[in-house]
Amino acid sequence: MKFTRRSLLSWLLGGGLLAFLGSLLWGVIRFISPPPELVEGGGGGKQTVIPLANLPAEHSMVVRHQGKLVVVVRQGKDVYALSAACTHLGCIVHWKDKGDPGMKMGDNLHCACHDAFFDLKTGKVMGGPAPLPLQTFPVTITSDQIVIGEA
Amino acid sequence: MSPEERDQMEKHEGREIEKRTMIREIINFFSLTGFIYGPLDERLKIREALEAQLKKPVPHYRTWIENNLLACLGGLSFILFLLLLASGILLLMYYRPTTGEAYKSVVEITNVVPLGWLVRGIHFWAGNLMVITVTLHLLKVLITGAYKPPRDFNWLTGVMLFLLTLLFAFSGYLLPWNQISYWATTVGTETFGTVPFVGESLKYFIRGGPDVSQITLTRFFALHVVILPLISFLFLILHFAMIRRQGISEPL
Repeated sequence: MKFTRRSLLSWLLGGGLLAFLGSLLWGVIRFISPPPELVEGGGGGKQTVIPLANLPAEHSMVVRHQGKLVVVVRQGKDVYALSAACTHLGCIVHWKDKGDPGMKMGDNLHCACHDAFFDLKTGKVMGGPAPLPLQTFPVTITSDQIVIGEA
Repeated sequence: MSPEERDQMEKHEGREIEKRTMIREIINFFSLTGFIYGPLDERLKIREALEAQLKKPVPHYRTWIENNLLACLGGLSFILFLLLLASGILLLMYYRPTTGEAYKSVVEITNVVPLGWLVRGIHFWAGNLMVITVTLHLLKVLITGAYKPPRDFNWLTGVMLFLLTLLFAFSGYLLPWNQISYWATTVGTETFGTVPFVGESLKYFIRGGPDVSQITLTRFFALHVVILPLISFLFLILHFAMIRRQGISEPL
């Protein structure tokens, strides 16, 4: 294409159009990026505190710790906190609470998606397709609360 | 001056040639962006088709009002429709159609989401303006007699689009689930009860129950974002295809 005086005008027109579309795209991308206020459990401090009364003995619960899901298990006098996302494909692992019906899984955490088992104390893979152990978190127990994470 | 005389005059003044080259220059520019890619154009003749589409015959209006105000009402409505489509899709990313969450999500869109106030504002104002422009477009066609054969079928699709616009506005009004939308929909659906014989059951059917509830919100939401747009696309295609085939009626 020969560059003429007239084609300068169409370059300006086309360039202006592209700049307009670019700014439009920028606005749309800003709009569809969810603001942190609306993201569930976004942010969070270094530590997550759960009142001891919320977690009865021989029961488990899933909480958000530093934005990620963590399964907290109270067994006997001890409390364990492990990453709740199975290392295979990210499903949430489950611990059999006292009185729960269902399969025998002993003291292991179980992932219902593809039958992976993890050791409750260390997160080690006990069976199934999971390639890596679950991450464990340090837990401190005071008289009335459970603190996950280090200060 | 007849259209033929005008063409003659424009040819004489060299204006028509200039217009054509301008179109060509724009097309040339877009061929650089890869849209009219050489080998693809060779097979599909995109350039030729685009040029034919861009050279749209328009009537020769005599007055400024006709040319600048009345002739553009349909086009304005369509631009507003496109704006509503784009901003509506964006609003769908955050809106939650339940009685407990709808108002909260609308407040979030307005106050928390970046540029959410703008997207919602565009949707709100374009929606209101579209009712006005579509009504004026209908009145213009009615008063100038442009609905007469051979364009009578296009008039029918236009009336359908007018009714669809009103239904869009009516169903969209409920979605924020605030006091004014709740009671407006209560009053609006109540009027269906006055239809002889079938009124009460019609009202029950539209509301999905004896009063405006979650079912009403769900079905108005479905109507607003899926059912009405699909029907509108069909009628818009018919409306545009017919007017391009028959041409816009010359003024009286």
